[in-house]
Amino acid sequence: MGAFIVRRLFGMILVLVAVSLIVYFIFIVIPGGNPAIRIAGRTATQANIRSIEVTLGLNHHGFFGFLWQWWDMMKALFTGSLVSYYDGTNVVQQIKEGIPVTFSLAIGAGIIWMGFGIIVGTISAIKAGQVSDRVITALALIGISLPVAWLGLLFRYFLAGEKGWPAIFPDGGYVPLTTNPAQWFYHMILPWFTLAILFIGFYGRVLRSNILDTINEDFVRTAKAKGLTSGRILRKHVLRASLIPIVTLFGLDFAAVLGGGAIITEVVYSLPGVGFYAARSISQQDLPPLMGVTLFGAMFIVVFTLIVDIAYAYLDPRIRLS
Amino acid sequence: MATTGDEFTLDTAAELAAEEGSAGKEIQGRSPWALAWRRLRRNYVALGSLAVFILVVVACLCAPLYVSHVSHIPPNEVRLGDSVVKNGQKVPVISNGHTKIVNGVPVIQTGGIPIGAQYGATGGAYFLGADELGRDVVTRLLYGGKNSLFIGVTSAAITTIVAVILALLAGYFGGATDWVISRFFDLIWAFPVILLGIALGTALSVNGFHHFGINLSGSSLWITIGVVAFVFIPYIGRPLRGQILALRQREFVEAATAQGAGPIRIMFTEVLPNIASTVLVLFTLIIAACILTEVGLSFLGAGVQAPNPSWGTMIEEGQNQLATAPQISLYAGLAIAVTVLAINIFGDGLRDALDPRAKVRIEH
Amino acid sequence: MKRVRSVAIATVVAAGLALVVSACGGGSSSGGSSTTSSSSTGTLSTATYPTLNVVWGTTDYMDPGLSYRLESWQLFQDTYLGLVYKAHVSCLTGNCTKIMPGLATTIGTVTNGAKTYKFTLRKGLKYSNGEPIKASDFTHTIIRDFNMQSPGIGFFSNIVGIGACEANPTKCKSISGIVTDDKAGTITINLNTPESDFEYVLSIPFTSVVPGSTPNKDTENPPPAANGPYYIASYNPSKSFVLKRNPNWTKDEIPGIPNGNPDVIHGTMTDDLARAAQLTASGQDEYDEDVLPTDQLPHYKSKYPSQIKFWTNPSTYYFFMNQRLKPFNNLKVRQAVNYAINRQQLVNLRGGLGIQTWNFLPPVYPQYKKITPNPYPYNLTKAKQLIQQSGMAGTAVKVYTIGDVSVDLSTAEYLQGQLNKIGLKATLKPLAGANYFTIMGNQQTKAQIGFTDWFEDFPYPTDWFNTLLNGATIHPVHNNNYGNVSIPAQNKAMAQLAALPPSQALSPSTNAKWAAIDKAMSDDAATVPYLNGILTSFFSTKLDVACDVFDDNQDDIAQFCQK
Repeated sequence: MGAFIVRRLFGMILVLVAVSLIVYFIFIVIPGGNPAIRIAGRTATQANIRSIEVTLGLNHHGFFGFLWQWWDMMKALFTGSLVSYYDGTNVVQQIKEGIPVTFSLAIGAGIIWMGFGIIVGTISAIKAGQVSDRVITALALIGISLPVAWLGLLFRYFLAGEKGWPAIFPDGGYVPLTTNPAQWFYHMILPWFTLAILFIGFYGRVLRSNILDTINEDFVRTAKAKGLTSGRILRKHVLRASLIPIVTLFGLDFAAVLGGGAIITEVVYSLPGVGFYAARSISQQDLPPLMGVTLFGAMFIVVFTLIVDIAYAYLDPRIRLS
Repeated sequence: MATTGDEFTLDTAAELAAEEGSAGKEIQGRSPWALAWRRLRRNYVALGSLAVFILVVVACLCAPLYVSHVSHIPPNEVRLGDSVVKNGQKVPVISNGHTKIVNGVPVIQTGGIPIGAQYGATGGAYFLGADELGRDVVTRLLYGGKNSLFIGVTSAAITTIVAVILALLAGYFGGATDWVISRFFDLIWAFPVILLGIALGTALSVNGFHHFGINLSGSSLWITIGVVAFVFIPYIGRPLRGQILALRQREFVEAATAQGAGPIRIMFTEVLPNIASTVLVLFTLIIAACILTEVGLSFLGAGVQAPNPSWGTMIEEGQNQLATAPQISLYAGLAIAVTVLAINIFGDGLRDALDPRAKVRIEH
Repeated sequence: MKRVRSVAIATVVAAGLALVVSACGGGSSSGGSSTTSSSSTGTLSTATYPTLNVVWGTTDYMDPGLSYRLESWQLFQDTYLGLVYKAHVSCLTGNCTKIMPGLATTIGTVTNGAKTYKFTLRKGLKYSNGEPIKASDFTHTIIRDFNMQSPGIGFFSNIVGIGACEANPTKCKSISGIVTDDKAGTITINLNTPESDFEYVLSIPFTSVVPGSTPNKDTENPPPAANGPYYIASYNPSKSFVLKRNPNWTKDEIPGIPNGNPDVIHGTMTDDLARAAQLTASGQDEYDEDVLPTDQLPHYKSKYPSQIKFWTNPSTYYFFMNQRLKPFNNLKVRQAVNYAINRQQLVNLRGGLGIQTWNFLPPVYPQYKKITPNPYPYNLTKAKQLIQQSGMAGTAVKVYTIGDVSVDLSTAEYLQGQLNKIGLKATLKPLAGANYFTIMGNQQTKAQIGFTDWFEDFPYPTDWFNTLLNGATIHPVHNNNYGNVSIPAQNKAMAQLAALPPSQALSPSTNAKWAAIDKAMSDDAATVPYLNGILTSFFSTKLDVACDVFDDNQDDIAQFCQK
């Protein structure tokens, strides 16, 4: 077990290094000016640009130069001194400030989609084949077919006053939890549901199929033979068994949301989270924040994948040996 | 007539059935594909969805016909100064505004509002209204649909093919090949999908892709296709690899190896047919994911570039006009939802028919 | 400067300009003009109140040595003052471009053939951090600008002994042309040649005096210590800022600078125009500095008519055409583009917020003379003919624009469409606003045609022609003359007019000569000007709109009063 974990950890670090190299490489491909020019301002002369290039470490060329620049950027990132090309703000600081917003969004949406997903999945499994099951399945399918951006705009249009109807909810924006919990909640409702709807559908269906599979298992038949009520069987045996894969799925999805899946929701509702920061940096072709945000996201995904893998290896010894 | 003792063979069964007269019929064995087709045929909902999807595709392909026969307005042509005749009156497509200085004070006459849905009052032009540059929304929906669907289907096809090849190589050869390909899958998988898509899309859209003898301008659709395809490779590759690994241990593969068949031959004749149904289902379901990803990328500005329409860019363009010209964003999103829903329902039906156990994890 | 969301541009005062302006005055609304829906003469309320909440656009920096954005300069006018300042009065009722003594006791003693300026600091002034304001701080401020490679260093090229700093800005340590005496509190600046706009140079934030102890790098956490009635207590880039009363500001210590009505100003920064407007409409904020979103303009105008003010800023929106590249090196092609633009439609794209123009100078200038009749009335047929005659039909053209400001993108899409209609092959190249002007200013980009605009830095045509259309100020990088316009006769005329003595700077014949340059540029179809911009200010019901003072380019938030 220990060797398995060590191997996986090693792989994880390799992956993160590779991710950061790729991000760096992608943005060297972006033309449209030397970042030094952008910083030097409009009356800078050729000499000024060169001196900025040296400061930013952009004067190295060639393959090893490229690696050297990348290493410099990594060092700066991990010592917390990495600054944006565009406005000189500290990248790690900006990410830190965006974390509460993105976490608010992800956790709230996560609770909603897990909660509703479980309810939806259980009901449609119990009533499998009946009308309510079909209706729920249909709704679930609709949920996963909606583009997030459009859903967000729909909510804003009808519920937040864009149409000219009185606004039931605020039209985007974020109020910190510490400033005003009631307003924080009020502002987050629409973004939470926008993000959660597509997951509710998906999780409902997965849970439904898991439950139906589990019901056919031997141990359930035994429990029935023993005389336990359906409700008790459902709660104490079936649900537990069916939820395990759901929980692991949730871990991966939650990581994905933190790792950038929230970006569209944050843009539509103007929530100043990590995703919004990433979207802005991309349009400004600002490499350091992108590097920071991408690694932040990749780290979550990789760590959660690792936890899931370890959990499975713990439960199924065959995997450890693969 | 087989009369060798008590053996009960299929021939025997057929004879027995024939002896029973017209009540019995010869039982024919059916291939798994035929069985699947029968199951699918009975799923009216799935077939209906397929029909809807085909309808959407055909409608979008007929976009040029719509332009020449109904709206007479090309999709990308800016028509700020145009006007239409409605109820005998000339109405500007974009309302006129101006500012006058009266006693030193600017007096604004607001303008720039695109005309709303006409529903045929103007004889086909601007059926659902105009966008902020005077272009016909329906025309752009159709042309945009063409682009979005083309990107969605093509990138799904490319990612499936690449993923199948990689999974075959990894699953069959194992060892170092498997290790490298698995790490490659891990790498793409670890990359936050949207961020990778945006990063690649933005980087490539500025100046295009001019390497390895391929020359693509920054606004080429193939760049978006490549980006979306690349991002989804592990979503198909990993489940397939797992399945192939399992298949590899099966006896018929061993038998084929013993017969002296080479690896390529085995992959194509033994392994591939057994994963075919899974591949088909995955392909269908990943089309939905590809379309939604293109929409997301275009919405953020890293997909299809202006002035080419796509459903994603239309949602983005209409954002700023939500209060006065909602038709730009709302109908584009509706088109996406309907199309993706149709594919999802059909894909579900296909999966139930072919291989009820295929599970696909799609990220949005 | 540019006012577009992401970037601003410095003016380059070319060496050799020699125009002295002692006070831009004269008739009504010369220079920056503004409008008020209720004319505010008489005394303004000075009733104080505890908090003012505002919503603001994002900006580049909050350091007066680095920022070149209207969003920051609007705050600097009450926080960072220089030796002189432009009067904080409404342009409609007073002379908002009048130079007033700021940190100095007078607007300067000018001697030596207008080449030497001497100032004496007021006594007893202190920064917000308690340090006394010293004369040598002025020199340190300029040197700091060079060390940080500020976009404003071009303004100082006429100072004696500036050569070493210009050649090696990061190593700039001293400027021989500036002589200060801390004990006497005097500052003497020596110029190489007379320069008409030097007083204005001393009124812009690049010369606002900061303590000598301020680090020689972008300082915004917090920003440098202030010398105005307020100081910037905190700044969170693109998120928020807070202004508080300067504890070391004595009431009325600089006549004409308001003491300020709000005690604390909380600013939320966003580029989402719809959100900004909504925050103000709902009362969560009291003032929206951002422009109102054009698609909701009718809605806001009808619902809040008395809370919105429209301003004509001295600004021109135009397309540049690079005369060093095909096809725009051909006069017929440039004329064709002018014929192919329907200016009314471009005004529509901005929701009606704009006034059509085909002059380069904005109409508020005394040197403006409307070119009549319209030399290029909208005529697609004529445009097509000209393209055919030029032999450039079918040439590939890339139209550059700012991609993340939707109305700038739409404007360029319109241009692209028209260019295609007249026989060119135009494609669109949208770029991020943050990089846009830097990339346009780089000759290597080889941008043929694109979107641009200009808002005045100060109200004299040198800020327009000599900066933007002058052959002598074409640079390989950080070029402002995107079109590489260089007409020898006009270059000469510009230089001559800039070198006139102050007494002749605003004479009718001088004004007429500037107008002639304007016309010559139009004859050469040097650019495609299409509208003068209109900005908006949106107030919540809490504020008394009658108190609003729009001075030169911006509302003075220190003078806002509550009902």
